[in-house]
Amino acid sequence: MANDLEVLIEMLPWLVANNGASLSEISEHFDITDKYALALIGQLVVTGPDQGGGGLVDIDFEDSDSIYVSDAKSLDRPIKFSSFEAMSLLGGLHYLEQFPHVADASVVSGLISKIQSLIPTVENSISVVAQNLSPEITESINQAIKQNRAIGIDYAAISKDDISHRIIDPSEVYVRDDFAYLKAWCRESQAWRNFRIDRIMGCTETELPSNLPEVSPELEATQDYLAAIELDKAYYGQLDQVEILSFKEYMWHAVEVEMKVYSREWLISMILASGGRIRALRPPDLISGLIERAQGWE
Amino acid sequence: MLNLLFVLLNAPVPITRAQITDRVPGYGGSDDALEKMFERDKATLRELGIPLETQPIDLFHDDVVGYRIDRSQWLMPEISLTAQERTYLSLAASAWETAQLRTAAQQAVRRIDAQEFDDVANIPISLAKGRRHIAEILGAITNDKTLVFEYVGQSDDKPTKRTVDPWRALLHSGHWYLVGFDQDRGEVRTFRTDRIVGDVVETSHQRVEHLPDDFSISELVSEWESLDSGSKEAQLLIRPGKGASLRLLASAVEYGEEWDRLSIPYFHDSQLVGLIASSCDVTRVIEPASLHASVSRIVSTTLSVHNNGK
Repeated sequence: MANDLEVLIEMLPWLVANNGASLSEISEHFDITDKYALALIGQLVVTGPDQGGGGLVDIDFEDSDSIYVSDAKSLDRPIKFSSFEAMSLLGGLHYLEQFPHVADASVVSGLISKIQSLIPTVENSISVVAQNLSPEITESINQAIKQNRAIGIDYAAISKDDISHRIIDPSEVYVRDDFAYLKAWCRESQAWRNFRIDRIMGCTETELPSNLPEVSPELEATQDYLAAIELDKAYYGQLDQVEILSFKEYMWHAVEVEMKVYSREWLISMILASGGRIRALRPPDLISGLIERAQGWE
Repeated sequence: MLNLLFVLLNAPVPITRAQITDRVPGYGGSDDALEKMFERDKATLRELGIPLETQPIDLFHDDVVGYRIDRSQWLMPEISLTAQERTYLSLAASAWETAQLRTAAQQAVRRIDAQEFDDVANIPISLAKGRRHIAEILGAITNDKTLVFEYVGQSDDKPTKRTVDPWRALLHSGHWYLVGFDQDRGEVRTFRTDRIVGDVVETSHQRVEHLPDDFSISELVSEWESLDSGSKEAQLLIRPGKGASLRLLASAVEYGEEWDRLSIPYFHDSQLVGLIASSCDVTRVIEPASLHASVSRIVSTTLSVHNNGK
């Protein structure tokens, strides 16, 4: 009974907002069977605030292709959102507000105040501080995408930590957490690459028409270097940027983790930065590369 | 039950139990049975979050109460949205990569405006993918509860238990932080969520310290940044074209044949030690000596952990 009621109080306002919906649209939206949807509508039309005087919910559903509500007896608007729902949505909006190249920030902040006025008791629980991107670089990228032209960039790579100059054909800008990325075809490496825009140190326009391959792959950066490390369980949380394949727990809080990472160079950097908290186990070239780099210190 | 709901929702003023019995079909029988049924139904309505109000309806007899569901409390008011606003709403709701938050945000959008609209937004944005603890932290803020978790601070060797009144989740420079009041230390603290060990547990205790009215996240962050760009300056040598992460922090670079010379403003050695160690084969510290010593220490620890390569 309580379950029926839960669906019913969502369903009636939805029917009002989507007057003329078909039975199959209703069951699809609420993820229920046609039969159950029909039974619920059947329940609605025999209820109302005034049984004697004809004060019943009025729905015309003889034709299951289009169902009309002519009187919802005051249950004609969706239920207000819960604090958690409101907060999740506001969090998404605060996030969006930080990326002016994705959305018009003034429209987003207008939306935020509109929604906050609906639920004045919900406190803002999420803040996002996005990278300050150089407006000149952002502008050059946007122009190049619009005009289908290649650009030259000086890029501070993450996986090798080198600065390199390359000619790229920019495709699109996207955002992951608080970083904005440029997806582009890199002419040097003849491959798709994702560049973090805050690490593009310089950008030059070219007259070269861009030459993007037709098929563009998923945005995911590929993590294809397979390795195993051992670390204290307490530091396990810090591996949230790697793809973990398996882990084993040992005594003394140690864990052995098998994982895939962007590159060997990247993993060696992480191990060195950990200052002995992480021990490389496999493959041998990871250990030899690590030792070699460490021995380069004076 | 559904009839009771409609009777209460359509009552212009609070109505008494006798009036309810009259109007709701199926309400009848002995007083006892009726009482039980009514109590059960009231409980069910409240469980569904329906604001069932009770108030005295007789100025002189406050034991006679009336019942009513206030439509404006329960249902979403009409708000008008432009097409662009709708797009942004669905975009914001689909940003979350954490299932719990994504579902909640999408449900919120449906409640603002139950009308179906096509997901026109096709700008790829994504938030908190693969990140742990975010939904739990936000849930505790909403529920006004204290959190308990084990945490390893930057200079800690071992995790310690923290009891925190959560105030805000902050996303900054690729990391998620919990900003809150640390009950044991009696002050505002910031915790990086990837340094939390094990689970974040929401306690049954109400938060003790609430977010101050004058709290400003941007002040907090600019405080960090002024600390960052603070009091000290390191002089480093880096091979040309190498050490990109350190170069991004530099305030000045002198280019040379074999080495480039970088000046990096910083506040605490711990900010630079890891970065320098990561590129220790192409970097040299000229000054300060303490920074050089810290890097040497962690590089030699790493070497000894790996048996010096033997």
